[in-house]
Amino acid sequence: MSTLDNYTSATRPAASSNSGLCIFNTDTKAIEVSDGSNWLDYTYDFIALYPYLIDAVSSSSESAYSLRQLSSSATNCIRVRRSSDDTEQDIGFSSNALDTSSLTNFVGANDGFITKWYDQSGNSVDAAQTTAANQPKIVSSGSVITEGGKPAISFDGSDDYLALSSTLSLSTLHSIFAVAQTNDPTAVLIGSTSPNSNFNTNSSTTYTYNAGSAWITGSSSTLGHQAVSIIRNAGTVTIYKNGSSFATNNAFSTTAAFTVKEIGRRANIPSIPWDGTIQELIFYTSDETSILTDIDTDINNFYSIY
Amino acid sequence: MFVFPTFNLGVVGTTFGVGFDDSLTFPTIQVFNTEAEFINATNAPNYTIVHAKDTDRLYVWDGSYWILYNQN
Repeated sequence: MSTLDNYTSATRPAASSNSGLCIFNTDTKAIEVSDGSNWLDYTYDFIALYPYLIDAVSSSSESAYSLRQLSSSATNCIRVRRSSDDTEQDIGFSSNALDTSSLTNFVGANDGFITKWYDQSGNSVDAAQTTAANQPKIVSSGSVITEGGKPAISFDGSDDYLALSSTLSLSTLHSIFAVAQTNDPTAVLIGSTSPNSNFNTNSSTTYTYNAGSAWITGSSSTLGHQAVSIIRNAGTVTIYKNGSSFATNNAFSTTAAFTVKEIGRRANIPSIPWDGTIQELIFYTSDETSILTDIDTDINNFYSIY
Repeated sequence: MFVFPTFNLGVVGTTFGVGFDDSLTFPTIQVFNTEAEFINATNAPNYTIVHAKDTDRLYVWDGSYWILYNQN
């Protein structure tokens, strides 16, 4: 069995006098090799079975919304308005998941609505809704709404949506991971205007990924409780559903960025909002194909979708 | 002492003029057929480095988790 010597960046020996030495840097988790002058880093890609998904991924998340704790540094999960008196309160986490005890204690026997879904990436791009009638629901008559046994935010398919505090511009290189449920064959999960971008069910077997007016046609259902992963690399978009490739389209514009401003609708096509539940949305401005299986496995280990 | 390997048919390897250091001992790491054989194991000595053939990745056990390094 081979083990690496371990050091911090401060305690490692001088690279100049240790040419060829291979070490593990406990600060950065990088494998480092001295070339006789400098320490060369071989950076990690993923940490297996880590309790916080976006901490496990080497790439930095652009924005991350979930009803489970994705980062060790995240403290607030959602802000909730209770129907009894319209008072609002932040709800955090318990055992790395939504603190449902605090949630139901606060809401009581009435309904609870999402006024803010906190961004766990550290970039503070929170998703919020100030209009009471447009707020999606998390507690119904004192019971936490669930999907597959886990808490879920319910969008009514009429006028519910959340608006991000700033528009995410994901360029032409990005990865999106979503956990959601719908039985509506024309429903927008995420979208923006100026420029127009959206991802939605376009039929029971077709998703629309719109950033340059193209779409993805598959051969299996787009409906139901699902973990959807979208990988865009320049003009090629691949969609994975429940751990399997759904379809690829390589005819996209290589310059048109995908942008996100709203969860649950696109403002200028409000007639097809999301009708169902959403539990998680994570955005990266990087191609995470190399660890797609690891991320999908982590998601399914928690949500048990497939 | 580094010994030039003798291949089939008596062909002898040559140095191509490169000054390799024959005093170094090449580190050998354990190779698993599949990641699944060890990914749930927690008893590896700290900073053990292994390879899995099904993923072509390197893995380092940091004492709590397996850190994954993709082949580029």
